[in-house]
Amino acid sequence: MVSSSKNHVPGEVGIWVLILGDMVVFGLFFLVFVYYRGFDIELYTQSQKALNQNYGAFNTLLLLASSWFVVMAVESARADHGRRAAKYFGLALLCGSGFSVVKVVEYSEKLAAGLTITSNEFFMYYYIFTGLHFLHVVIGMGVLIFLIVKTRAHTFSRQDMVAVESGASFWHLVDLLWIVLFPLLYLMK
Amino acid sequence: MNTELIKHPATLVWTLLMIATAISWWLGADGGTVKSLTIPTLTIALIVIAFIKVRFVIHYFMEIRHAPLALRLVCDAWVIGVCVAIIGLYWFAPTS
Repeated sequence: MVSSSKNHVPGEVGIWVLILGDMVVFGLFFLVFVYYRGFDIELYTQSQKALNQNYGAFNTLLLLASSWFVVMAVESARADHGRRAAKYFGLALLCGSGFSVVKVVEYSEKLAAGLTITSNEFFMYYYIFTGLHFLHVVIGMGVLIFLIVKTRAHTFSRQDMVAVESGASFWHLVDLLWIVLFPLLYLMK
Repeated sequence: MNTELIKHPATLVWTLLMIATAISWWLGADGGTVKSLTIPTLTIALIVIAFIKVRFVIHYFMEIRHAPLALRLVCDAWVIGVCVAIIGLYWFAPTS
């Protein structure tokens, strides 16, 4: 099986350039946020109180579940169970949709309360970071739809498996970034 | 559901990640003041938990534990580097 090899890059090398590039960019975002927070901790902790931790935590659970479904989908595809793989990718897509619904509800509540990107420094970072992350979620959901179509269609060639692994790796990146954004924006004091 | 598939190591990892998220959620609720932790201890704990979770995602979900050494090292360097830098910036914040 592919996954037992010690020298297997999951997916295309190109997708890893993108993933590592995104990790560097978001890594810098995290550091910029914590750095500027240090100059006005009062503003950041007060602003953070306007966020709903339950939304953030629930969305973390949704993305973790979606990632697990994606692992199950990749394993199913490796075992040549296309329809089962498509089913698991479908469940991951459902979790991604749930994340999106929560995010839209959350944004609408904030906007209705008059909290916008120009409200203060905290909310500027909040909207930019979560907005860029949400863009990744939307792209990732497009990838999942592509993988559902791909895995349902036929048995796999080596090339199809590379596409499946590339898409799966991208979706895990979406999960990974949110795992750090959640405590930084919603929880840290 | 397929029972063979459920026995995959990712299932155990996923369970641990869900538990870690619940712990962070509980710790962070209401500023964590009821858990008699100091604020810096609470925040550093939350950051460390997050990056342990990230490493699990990278190694078990993204399958980096089976990747060539160079990719494994780059990913681990990111996890450790960003985690340590965040804690450092937090700890040495000018207004803390």
